[in-house]
Amino acid sequence: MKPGKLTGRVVFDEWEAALKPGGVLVNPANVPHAVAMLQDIRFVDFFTQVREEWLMGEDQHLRHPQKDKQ
Amino acid sequence: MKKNNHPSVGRQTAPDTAGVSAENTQPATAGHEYRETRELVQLVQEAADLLHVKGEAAFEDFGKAGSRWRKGESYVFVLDPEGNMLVHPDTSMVGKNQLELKDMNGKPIIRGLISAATATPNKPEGWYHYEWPVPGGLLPRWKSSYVQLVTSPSGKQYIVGSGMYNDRMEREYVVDMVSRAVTAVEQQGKDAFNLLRDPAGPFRVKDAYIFIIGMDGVEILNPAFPNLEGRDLLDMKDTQGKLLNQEMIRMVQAQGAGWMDYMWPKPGENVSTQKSAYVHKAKLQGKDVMVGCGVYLADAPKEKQPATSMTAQELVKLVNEAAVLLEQKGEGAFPEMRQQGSKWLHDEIYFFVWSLDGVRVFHGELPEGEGKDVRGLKDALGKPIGRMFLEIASAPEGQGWLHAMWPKPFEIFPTWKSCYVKRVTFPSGKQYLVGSGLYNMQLDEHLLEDVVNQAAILIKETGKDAFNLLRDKKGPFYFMDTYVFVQTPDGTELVNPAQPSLEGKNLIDLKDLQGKEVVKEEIAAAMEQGSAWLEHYWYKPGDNTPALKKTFVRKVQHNGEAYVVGSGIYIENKQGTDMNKDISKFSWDTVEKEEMSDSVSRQVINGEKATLAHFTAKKGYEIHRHSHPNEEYMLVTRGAMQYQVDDHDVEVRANEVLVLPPDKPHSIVVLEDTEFLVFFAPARQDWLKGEDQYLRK
Repeated sequence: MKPGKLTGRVVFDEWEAALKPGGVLVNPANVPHAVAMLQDIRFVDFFTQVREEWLMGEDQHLRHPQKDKQ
Repeated sequence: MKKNNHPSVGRQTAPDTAGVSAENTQPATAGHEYRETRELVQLVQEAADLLHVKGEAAFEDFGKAGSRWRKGESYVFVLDPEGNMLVHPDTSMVGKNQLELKDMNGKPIIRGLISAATATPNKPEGWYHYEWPVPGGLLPRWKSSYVQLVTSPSGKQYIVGSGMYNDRMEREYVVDMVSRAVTAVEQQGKDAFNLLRDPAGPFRVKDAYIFIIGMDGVEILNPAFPNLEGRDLLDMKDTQGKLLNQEMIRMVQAQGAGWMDYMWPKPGENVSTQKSAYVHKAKLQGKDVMVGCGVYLADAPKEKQPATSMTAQELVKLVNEAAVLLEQKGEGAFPEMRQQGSKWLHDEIYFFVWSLDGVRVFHGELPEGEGKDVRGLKDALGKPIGRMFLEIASAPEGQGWLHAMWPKPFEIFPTWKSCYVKRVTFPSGKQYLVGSGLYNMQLDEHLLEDVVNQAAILIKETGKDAFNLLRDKKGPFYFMDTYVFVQTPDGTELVNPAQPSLEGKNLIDLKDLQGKEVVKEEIAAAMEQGSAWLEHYWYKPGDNTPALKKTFVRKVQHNGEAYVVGSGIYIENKQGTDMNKDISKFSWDTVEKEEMSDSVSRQVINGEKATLAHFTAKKGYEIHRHSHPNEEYMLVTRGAMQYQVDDHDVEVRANEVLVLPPDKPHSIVVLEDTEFLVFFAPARQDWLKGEDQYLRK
């Protein structure tokens, strides 16, 4: 993730990573995850393959963030 | 020059560990990286607040089952500073003095908790770590408890706390431990050393220990390697050549305290993992020193490339070749075995030859060490390796492995070295042993079987008399976190050097994390098949996620009594074969920066399906026309550059992104000092193979 002021936290089943400016996270395919922004941030996200579901408008999870699961 | 074609992780360039927030001046919850740790601290904080306001009446609240103070496995406890338990779900403990309560290794739990909250002035809170069996289980796990000292409205003081099972080391625990060690050293001077060394004391947690180094680089205290004390380690390097102690001294002198990352292999692994040390300035007898602690954090990145290219089998083959040569030529073979760059002497490989009466007659790397009596030779842990080598070579089989902590040539700090030695007879008729070793060899199934088989032979010959040697932590069966266990066919643990408190207990009902009956399966397989490999899941040391552990067991008999002897290793996640596909976290501050030429440096992170690279290039740097089958996304973060594609130029400036289709020929000119990120899909197989000369011109 770069550039900009960034602090975020990515939560996996058993694993949590806090990211700060200059931090990079590599997430293999099909690993469920949740993300919490700790401050106003700006980050760059790369995917392969193309996010077909976004192209089809299926991106509700980005618009109505769920509360972090218990 | 170190060859590293795909530096997925690497050395850190800035000593200030940017991005790490671990100053102990922060509020207690702010620095914790993990949610469950933060929640635990929060719970204790709120319980302390309640007790502070409501006084002893809060005890009733804490005791309510199903309330936030006591839910599932989580509970709040209250002690008074004398060690009386006032609130605890186990009612048999309440109202009694618990000062003598110890964990399975003799750690005084209640004393430790009280000390964590009271021993350090201006720090009425802290952590204490100990081992405790999991509820309903037999095997212990590490437990981390957080406590605060509170004053109730009545003026009485209490210790409020809560704990969780947690095998990983966290930055806050390290900071907490180092801060308390600094206090101990500043208050008590060298009298604090006994406490810092005590294996059952508060400063030996998981694999971590406190070290003290002078500002001149001389090791003052090292509980793990006492033989290093007094040695000058100013030039100590990590596996990537970083001058670790020099950088730590510089950092501590500049800012008083901080984190330093370096690369060091874990025991039994041939790749380095990032280790993080927290160091803090302290005054010891009027002099400035550094007090520190280094740990492998749970999500520490790991090198992908092994440091040693040679395998155990290849070393055995080479030692056998040396044996043939020595049997033919005797001392006449020594000159060629001293030839730098030959197969006998290159990189970290060298040979040694000892007479069987214990004189080193040849040392490929250091001829000045020849002629010495080596019978008393000991490794860095005090293992009597001189005697052990001679025993291996004198035994009927006359060959075998020995693993010991030994520094690399011209270094002081030891690392695991695996030596293979073999008995040879020179043309003169005199007998010798020849040997060579690999540093940081990967422990594998082949070696583990070998160790179990050796133990089985010993038990077959000597029965229970073998057990003390199996338990000996300086003996041949205990190395790199590996040990041999022995059970009776009904499941009673007879030998377990890692958890001696389990000896004498019946473990037949032991289950792994998937509910598999581990011991039952091991015994059935060994008794029916003679020997077998089994798989189960357990927490890997230093981590809270289940990991695959493979165990080799063998049946052995002595005087009509049957035993099951075995040993286990954790198997690394191999792509596609394991249930745990892990995410990886990196920071551009720590990913290795490869200087490809005077005008460009590159950092690379490779995933399964894509490659991400970060380039820093000087004005004027050019990449000649080339193409690749990978789709390319290029984001300029600073500066400007120009792509020539087909017959037109495209200028890309900060904050702009260029998308290049696969197989499109392009050349590049850097117009200003520039930083850019490039994302490729699929991953750059050509770079992984080292084919990147076009970038280096």
